Amino acid sequence: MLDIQFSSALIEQITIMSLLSFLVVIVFAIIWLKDLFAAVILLGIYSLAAAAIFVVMDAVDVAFTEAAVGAGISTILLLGALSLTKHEQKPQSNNNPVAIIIVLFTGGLLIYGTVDLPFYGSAASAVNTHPDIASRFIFQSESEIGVPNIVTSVLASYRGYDTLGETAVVFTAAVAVLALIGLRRIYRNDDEQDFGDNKTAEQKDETDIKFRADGTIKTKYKDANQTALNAARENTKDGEIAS
Amino acid sequence: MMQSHKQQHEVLQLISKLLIPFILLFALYVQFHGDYGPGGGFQAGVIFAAAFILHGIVFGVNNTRKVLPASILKTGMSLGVLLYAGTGVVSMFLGANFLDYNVLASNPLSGQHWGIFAVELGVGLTVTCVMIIMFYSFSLKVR
Repeated sequence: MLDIQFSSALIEQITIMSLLSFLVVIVFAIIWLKDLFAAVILLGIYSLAAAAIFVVMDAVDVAFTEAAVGAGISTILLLGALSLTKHEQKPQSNNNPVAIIIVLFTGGLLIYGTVDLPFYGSAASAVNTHPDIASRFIFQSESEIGVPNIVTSVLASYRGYDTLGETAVVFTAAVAVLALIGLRRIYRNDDEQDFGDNKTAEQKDETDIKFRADGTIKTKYKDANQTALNAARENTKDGEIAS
Repeated sequence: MMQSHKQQHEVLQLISKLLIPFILLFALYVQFHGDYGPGGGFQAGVIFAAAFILHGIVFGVNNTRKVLPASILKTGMSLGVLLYAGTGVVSMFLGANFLDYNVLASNPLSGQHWGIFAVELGVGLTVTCVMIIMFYSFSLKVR
């Protein structure tokens, strides 16, 4: 019985270690790559590997969030941001000695900080020995909160302030995005058809249609304005029928 | 002449149409089953948003914005935060501390249950709307 426990713990350790080294490999790949598209996809893979680590560590809620947010949404958002910029990183010299010293110093400081951290799952860590943290959540949350999932009772009730702050942060992020790039364009284009979603590539090259705030259309060939307008109207109709 | 957008993505559109209801249903499950299993408002919100983002990728963002206009999303993301903070204010008016759910119902346990339900709903609403509205604003291409 003990042997089985020991070997399963060993397998768990090996799994975590190999996944962690996988993370390190991905990070270096991201650093070396100049192609931003590949870097974004690798970031998604990084989050998926991190989610796998959390599953192995029995932190299913965290793994769920990491997989959904890190591997899913943030990859999509970064790809969307890439469509606003270029796909290649600007070539830059990496020879600034001050920057290297600062990075190495900060990294060294962080690694030095981990020396004081308790080992993973250590029963002697402060979180596990303090009577008001882990033991209270495990033994009393059922009678105090009545919710079987302890993570939910900690997040939504014991630490409700914290989660309120998180929600406010998410809200603030959206407000910032809207203020920086979103707001005007969303209203301006609400009733208009653009982005070439329902146009073929050839048509886009021919007409190069631009929609503007006042509803007029700007094309590359000024004489072809009316033709382009008609084409755009037809496309809009097609798009509506198709949907 | 190239194939039109619709013909190119017919398979993807069909499969997405089949998938989207189940993604939405799974999001609701994650939202309301968070008390018993892994999940909660944040994860559910992201999954709910993922359904709309899938629709936006496959059918074009403009069609998604006809289904779910940005004005609704703006209201929703504010309502979520207000619902969360409002739960705290209600518990304050009932004589307890801010965000102390014990007083929300006749006995403390069901009060906690209602409080967590409301709060998670607020988180889910805000996260859904924020993720979709971010997708909208990032997917606008300027040509």
